[in-house]
Amino acid sequence: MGLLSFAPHFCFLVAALISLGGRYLARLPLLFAVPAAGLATFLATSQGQVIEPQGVPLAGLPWVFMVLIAAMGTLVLVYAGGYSAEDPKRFRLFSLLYAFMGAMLGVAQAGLDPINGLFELFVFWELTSLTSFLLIGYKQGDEAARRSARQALLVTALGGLCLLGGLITYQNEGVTDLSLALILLGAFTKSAQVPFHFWLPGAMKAPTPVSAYLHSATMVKAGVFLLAVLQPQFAVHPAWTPTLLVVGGVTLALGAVALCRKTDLKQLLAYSTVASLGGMVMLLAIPSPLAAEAVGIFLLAHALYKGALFMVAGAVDHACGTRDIHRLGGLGRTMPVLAVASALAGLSMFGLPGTAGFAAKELGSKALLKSQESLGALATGGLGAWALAGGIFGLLALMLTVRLFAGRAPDPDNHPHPVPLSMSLPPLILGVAGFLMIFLASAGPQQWVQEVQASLGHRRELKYGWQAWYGVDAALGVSVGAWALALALFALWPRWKPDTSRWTTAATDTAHKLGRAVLSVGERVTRVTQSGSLTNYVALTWATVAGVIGVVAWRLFAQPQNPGLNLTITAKSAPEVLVLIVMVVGAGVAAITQRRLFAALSIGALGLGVAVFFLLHGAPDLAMTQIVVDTLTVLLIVLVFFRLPRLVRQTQVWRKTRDVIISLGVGASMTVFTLAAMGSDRPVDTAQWVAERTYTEAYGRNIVNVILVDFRGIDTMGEIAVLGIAAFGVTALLRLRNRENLPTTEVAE
Amino acid sequence: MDALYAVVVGFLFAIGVYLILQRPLVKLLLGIAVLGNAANLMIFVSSGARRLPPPLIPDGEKVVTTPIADPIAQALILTAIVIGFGVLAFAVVLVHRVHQTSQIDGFDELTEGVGTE
Repeated sequence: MGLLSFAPHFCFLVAALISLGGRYLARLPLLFAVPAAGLATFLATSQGQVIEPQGVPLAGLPWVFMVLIAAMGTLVLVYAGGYSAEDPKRFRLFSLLYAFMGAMLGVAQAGLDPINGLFELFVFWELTSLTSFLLIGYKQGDEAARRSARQALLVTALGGLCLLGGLITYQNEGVTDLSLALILLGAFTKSAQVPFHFWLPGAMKAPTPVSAYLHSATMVKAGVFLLAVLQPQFAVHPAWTPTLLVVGGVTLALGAVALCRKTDLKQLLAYSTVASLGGMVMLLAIPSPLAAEAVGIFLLAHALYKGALFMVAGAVDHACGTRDIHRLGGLGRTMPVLAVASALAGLSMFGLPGTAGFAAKELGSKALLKSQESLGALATGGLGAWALAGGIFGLLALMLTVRLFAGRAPDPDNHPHPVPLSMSLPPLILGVAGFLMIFLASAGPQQWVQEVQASLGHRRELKYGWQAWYGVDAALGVSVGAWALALALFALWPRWKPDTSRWTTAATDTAHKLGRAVLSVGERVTRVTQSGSLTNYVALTWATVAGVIGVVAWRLFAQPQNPGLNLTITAKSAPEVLVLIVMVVGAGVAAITQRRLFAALSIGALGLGVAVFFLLHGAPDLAMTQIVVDTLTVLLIVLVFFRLPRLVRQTQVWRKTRDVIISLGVGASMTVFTLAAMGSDRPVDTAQWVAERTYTEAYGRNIVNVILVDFRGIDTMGEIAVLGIAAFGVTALLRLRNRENLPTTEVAE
Repeated sequence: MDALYAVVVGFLFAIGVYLILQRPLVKLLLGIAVLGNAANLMIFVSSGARRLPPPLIPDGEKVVTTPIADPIAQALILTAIVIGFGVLAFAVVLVHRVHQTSQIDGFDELTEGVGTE
């Protein structure tokens, strides 16, 4: 592991440095990408350090993911430099991007050890949700951005909570229905699976570099990553394969269909990302090495082309001031580099032979076709969704290349700004990288896919790997069908004016309404319970105590096996009765007296009564301690009370009534509780155990003392520590000088 | 007898809570003291307060064979008495300081003007 384990820390450090001193370097945006570039190089060359620690072949996918995160991060930072040129506070964006990168690397790294690293994974998982919240809401002045950020946080944090529950259940009980369900909820919310998909299109309010980074290449894949990391353990559960297959397939199909009704470039890409994530989840469901191969290839190919297309969309928006596809076109002449980048990525998304996208599409089809033998109709349905989505992805690719860059501009008055090189070069690099996957496959990409296979619990054995052409078979038939569908839909496109209709936004609306309802209920509850009066809080607390304990005690008390209580009072028990009378009188006087000395003395009488009571019933140690403490208490009270104001009676009748009712309620419930406790069977084995060992093992004769200093010695040490802390507190308070301008005096004024 | 014990425990709890609910800070301190005694007494009587010999092992023997008072409850209460005193001492000094610096006498005066800005 070595240095590699510090990759997240490195990112957090850079983030902190940028937020402290970034403003001085704001004119040199390229400089901000340098640490990420260094990190990416380091990670890419450190493969030997992570693969197979102690011969366990689980390192693969996390390492591939880490390289992907750092490399994409570098390009996104370069791109963000051009994107945010007019933003004076853009170093904030860079800082947040680094913080996110650190969190994401942490998630990936924790996956290296999927057994012991799960809680580390959870912590970083939550950090990605938090940084993502800040990044989506980066435009703080924009109400819609804030709302989307909150919505994304609510969904992913809810998922995070489920994940935590799932991980705890998993660690305690292993793979059960509950742990599987909770972990799946966590993964599905993060990776925007139906029905939690709506937050991802909403998150498009974020700056485009953020969308390209978080919402296509890295964070949304965390859910897929988690599923992949846990697959070796969880795939044995019978529900694993069908659940993933159905949820993934439905997400794939719905995301693709919903895409057709969008016109905003980023929304189009967001829905296609939802669909792609569904595809990955679906492939993860299939327990075969071929499917693992397909997952690896799809993961990489998708990150490359989708990241590039997001960047293209952002650059077009930047240049033309709109992202509405109907108002854009013919941009190829003014932005040739971008056009080439878009074409390269688009070809991959279209799935033309020779591209990374083609490899992903072919392998996915092959894996689904092959699994039909074992999975039957589910796999056939998945294949249908795969082909449909492939066609719609093809349509989107045609729209983003032919429609956007070729032909005429629909609005001749719109003269686009030039696009800076820092915005057109990163997508170009990603587009070219897609082809390098095929043509330099043996230099790395093949091996990366093998690592993914290994992580998924299979042997490192590629059946096909990255290839430009897979020959003529049924899978090619699926691809041809998808191309035909894409071309047909594209031909229909000019006459097809989709409205951004109701049903795709239904989920978003429901989420908004739900969120608002929760907030308003919360507000109402707060208004009632948080009145601001401390005595009211205390009263409420005690009333609750009385109610809860009363109910519990009554149920205990009413149990039939209650052994007979000693209810007789004879002449022999006269001392007890006398002592009880002393206690009652002591407490009663303390409650009603208005003289401070009387109050202090009556507290002393109560304590003394308790001491005698202990003495009568075989507890001399308690009696001695009680007498000492009682004396100290009286002294302390007498010393301090005369510096405090006189006791005044409660004058408000309603408050007095309330206080009496609550105290009587507490008293009554405590009485019943005590009766229930006295009447129930007491386990005597602990007392017996201690009594047998007090002399034979601890060499003491006083059982109580031996319990305190021996059997429960650590407990007593804790008690001493508490007393020590209290003593420090007392000393500190007494020595605190009276200063003129203590903040508390201001409150009093 | 047991029923009487339970009623006295309940009475002490009632007095403790009543004192805590009062406005003057001094009564809060009295309430804490009463509540501490009430809780200790409750544990004690729940463990079956009977006139039994103290939990000591007689000289020359290794174990006790005759019935003794429950040592577990006594150990718990011993801890509770001491901790209760710590809490009370801290509360007394805290109330003293609060009064000294702000000249107030009740809880609610502490928060006056805080939430209204």
